[in-house]
Parts: sequence; C-alpha cells; structure tokens
Amino acid sequence: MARLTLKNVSFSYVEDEPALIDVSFDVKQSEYVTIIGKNGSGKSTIAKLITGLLPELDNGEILLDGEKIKEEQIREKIGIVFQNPDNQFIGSTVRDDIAFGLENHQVKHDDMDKIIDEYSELVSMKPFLDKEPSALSGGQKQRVAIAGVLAMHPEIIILDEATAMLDPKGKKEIISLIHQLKKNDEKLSIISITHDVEEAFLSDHVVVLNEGKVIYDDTPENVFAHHQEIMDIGLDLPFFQKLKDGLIKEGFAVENCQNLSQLEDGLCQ
Amino acid sequence: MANISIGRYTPYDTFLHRLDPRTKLVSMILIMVMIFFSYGSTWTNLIVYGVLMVLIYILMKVAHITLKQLFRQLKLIWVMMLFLFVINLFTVKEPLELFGSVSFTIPGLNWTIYYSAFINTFYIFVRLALMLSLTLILTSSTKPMDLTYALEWLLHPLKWIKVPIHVFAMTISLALRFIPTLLDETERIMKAQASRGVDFQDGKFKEKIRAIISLIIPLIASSLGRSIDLANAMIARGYDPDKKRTRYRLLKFHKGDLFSFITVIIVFGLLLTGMILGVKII
Ligand SMILES: Nc1ncnc2c1ncn2[C@@H]1O[C@H](COP(=O)(O)OP(=O)(O)OP(=O)(O)O)[C@@H](O)[C@H]1O
Ligand SMILES: [Mg+2]
Repeated sequence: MARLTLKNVSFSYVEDEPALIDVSFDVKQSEYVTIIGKNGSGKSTIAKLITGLLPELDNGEILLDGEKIKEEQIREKIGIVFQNPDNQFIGSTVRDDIAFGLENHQVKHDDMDKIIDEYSELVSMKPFLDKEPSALSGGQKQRVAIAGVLAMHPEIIILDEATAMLDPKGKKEIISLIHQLKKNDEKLSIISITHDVEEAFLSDHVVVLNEGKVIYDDTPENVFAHHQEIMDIGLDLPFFQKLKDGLIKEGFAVENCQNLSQLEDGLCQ
Repeated sequence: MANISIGRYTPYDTFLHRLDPRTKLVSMILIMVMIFFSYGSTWTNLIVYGVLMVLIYILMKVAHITLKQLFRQLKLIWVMMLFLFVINLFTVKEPLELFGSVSFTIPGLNWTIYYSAFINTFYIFVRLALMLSLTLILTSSTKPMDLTYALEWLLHPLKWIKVPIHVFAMTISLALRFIPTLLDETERIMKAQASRGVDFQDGKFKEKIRAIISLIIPLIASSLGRSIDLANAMIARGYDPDKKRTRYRLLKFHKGDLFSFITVIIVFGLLLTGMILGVKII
C-alpha cells in the first residue's frame, strides 16, 4: 500500500511560473525511491512540500496513508537530510547536534545519551561525538545529519542531494549507509533526490522530473530503457545501460538482460 | 585567521574549567562591581585593588593564562590611558591627599599638578586591566556554549515579562556555531577575489574600501542563503520557538561551585560593608 502519495500537485513560487505541474507519484512502505532530473526541474521543491517547508499548494494534495498529511505528522514521521553539510549542522558538537532534534521532540534528558550513542554508532560517528563541525569532513557531517534524523524514528527519510557535495568516497559511504538502513528497518521508506544515475539504477523506483513535470515513474529498468528521451532531457544513463546498448550495437543478443550479472551470463552463453 | 584566538576557550582541565559557568559568570559580575567600588581613602582603594590584583593573578595562573596574553589585550588601552592622563593633568583638581598634600608644583614652569590626576588615571587603568583579566579568565576557561547557557539562566527572570530569552540564547549559540564556518567562507571569498586582481593588502583608501566591498557583498549573500537552509533544517527537525523543549545540556552545581560562590559572596559582603561605612585601612 502506498504510504505517501502526491496527487496532482502543482506549486509555484512566483505567480504564473509554476515550479511543479500536476505531479503525482506514490512511495510505498519500505520502498527506496529516487527522484532524478536536471537543475531547476523542481526536485527540491517536492522535498520541501512533503516536509511542510513551503506554503500551501496551488493544487492537488499530499497524502499519508490515504489521508491529508498534517503538520504534526510530518514532524513525527518524515525526516529530511539536505545537500549542504554545514548549513544543517546546528549543535556545537556532534553530540549536541543529534540532541537538537531530541530536545525539540521533548525526549527526556536521561534517555538522550543512550539514543545519541546508539545512532552515532549506527553511522560510525561514535568516536567523534565531542568534535566540533569544523573538525569534521563533509561526509562525516552528513552522517551526523542522518543520525540526527534517524534518532527521531522517522518512517520516511528524504535525502535531498545529500551526497552532492561529497567526494566519491564520502558518496559511496552514504549510499552504502542508506542500503544498510533499509536492512535495519524493514519499514523505512527512503526518497533520495540525486544526480547520480548509478544510485537511481540501484533503487526500487525512479521518478524522472523535467521542467516541473513527472515524465517517468517506474522501475529503473523501464525508465532507463528510454535511452534517447533520458539523454534528451540532459540526464546521463547508468553504466549498465550504456554497456548493454554498446553490446547490442555490436550484435550481441542481450536485450532481455536486466542487470550486470544477467548480462555476464548472457555473454557467456 | 588564527590571530583572533585571544580570549578563546583553551581546553585545559583546571578547577576553573570545571566550575559551573553560572558560578563563573555571577562571580565575575560581583568581582567587577567590587573593582568599581570606591572605598574610604586613597590608600584603602589602592590596598583593595592590590589584593584583588593578586587574587586575580592567582586565578589567571590557575587558568593557564600568561601575563603576555593579558598585555596583548592591554595593547590598545595604553594609548587611551596616555591620552587620558594628559587630559587629567590639566583638568583634574580634586583635593585627594597622597603624601600629606594634594598637589605639587613644577619649579620653573609654575605649573601645579594635582596628585588626583595620577590617582584617577591609575584607578581607571587598574579597573580596566582587572576587568580584562577577568574576562580573559572567564572566556578561556568556559566554552562559549556554556557561557550562553549561563547567560540564559541569568536572564531567565525576564521570561516573566515575556522576553523570549530562549530565542536569544538560540540565536547566540547559532552565531557561535557559525563563526568558524563564516571565517572559512571569508577566506575563500578573499582568495577568489584576490585571484581576480583585488588587492586586500595595500592600496589607497578608496581601493581598500572597494576591496572590502568585494568581500562583504558575497559574504552577506552567502550568509543569507545559509540562514534559509539553516531555518529549513531546524524546522524539519521539529524546532518551534514557541514550543516546550527538553534540554540535553544540564548545568550542574558542584561542591567546588558552592565553595567558590560562598567565598566571592563573603568578600563582596565585607567590601560592601566597608564601602558603606567608609572604613579606612590607612
Ligand atoms: N525560493 C524560491 N523562490 C522562487 N523561485 C524558486 C525558489 N526556489 C526554487 N525556485 C525555482 O523553482 C524551480 C525549481 O527549483 P528546485 O530548487 O526545486 O530545483 P531542483 O530540481 O532541486 O534543482 P537542483 O538540482 O539545482 O537542486 C526553479 O526554476 C527555481 O528557479
Ligand atoms: Mg535541489
């Protein structure tokens, strides 16, 4: 069943310049959804609308479990990690930053240390608990942000280009952390906004946005099968897709392969 | 950017570092008041200041602050003092007795100088120096964030008249949190502008102003962007200034605090009584 539903959502910051036009898609329980699209296509706007950071919609509705989502529900059930690691580090140390959300949710003081230990451990930041943000790398700060969000037990996590400002190593760490989180909490839904088509390729479900409209909303295999259209809107294709295309051009019969290992088998036959 | 480290927190583990920031803040305020009291006679004043100076020097030792650090802070004050002294020489004519008389005359010049000119300048200097030492002790032994908590506690009564103290405290702590970030940013912008030919080192006054503007405008623009991001991050994590929040950092009053606080109160009480009664030591 769909947990989060966007139904015909339209939104504009400035009158007559819609940032989103009639956007609809579902996020199911324990699903890992990626949203891709070029700069300015409206991805962050979707994230901010879901997390209640923007004023009223022009049109349409956002539903949680089939009912119109309320402000308290958003704060309780949906967490978001933003792009810039510095601008979302609120506490003076790692410890205080994770505590910030707990304080807001009125967690009792005596329970806080245990929670902070648990979640800093989960994102491998426990040895850095008393460090200040200036002493941390971007990837470490993002892991702290993720810990801070997880500590509030959200059911849906949104990552708005959370890896965009990180180096390849930091990026890999965060993505493997996401996959680990999914294993730890079977019910957790993840919405990841990204420019990384490889990440999108490994997700459950891809939403492609262009100029405020959803143009594809499907499995990665089906979405990336539209090579030309994807390239036309300025996006790249995943390595697998390019390889497959190349092979088909060379006359190999690999049309039905859905991933790298099938491709391997297909070639070895 | 390293030269702003004066007066910064130094992570030692001393008696002073371990004290509750509230104890330190309130004690500092009381000691400052003592410094600004005027006691029964010139000599009494000098003796009280002398004693306070020795005590504060001991505290500085405890907090691992060197006299050199203090003198660096005093650098600006020397000029001011000299200026003040010259003015005092001509203007101050209080009948303050020092060695059995109130003034002396420079032979040949026929110029009468009052001792009070020296004494008043000296008082001001000592008061400023002591205040600076105290501030130095407080800031180098207390984390800025702890100081914010102490300030919030001290101003807590204002909540009764609906002053949003917790919002001020949050604002101060965010400002403190973002100082290093903004310094980094400043450095980055300076480098970027320097690579475009802006000269921050020399040049005429007009060119300097232009250089500074080329730094400030991008800095303000990026800070505004940051503040929007920050506000979004805070809201998304459930911050609402009008709602109740629990606290992670609790201030704890220990035995050492009680001891220090009582000592300060006793000294304060004694000096206050002495001042009111006009007690003269000499
Ligand atoms: N605060 C704002 N005020 C006015 N217009 C805005 C505002 N924020 C975004 N927009 C506009 O809305 C459109 C969508 O912006 P959005 O930030 O959602 O894009 P995005 O897909 O997240 O892009 P990016 O990949 O660069 O992050 C853009 O045309 C942008 O110029
Ligand atoms: Mg964006």
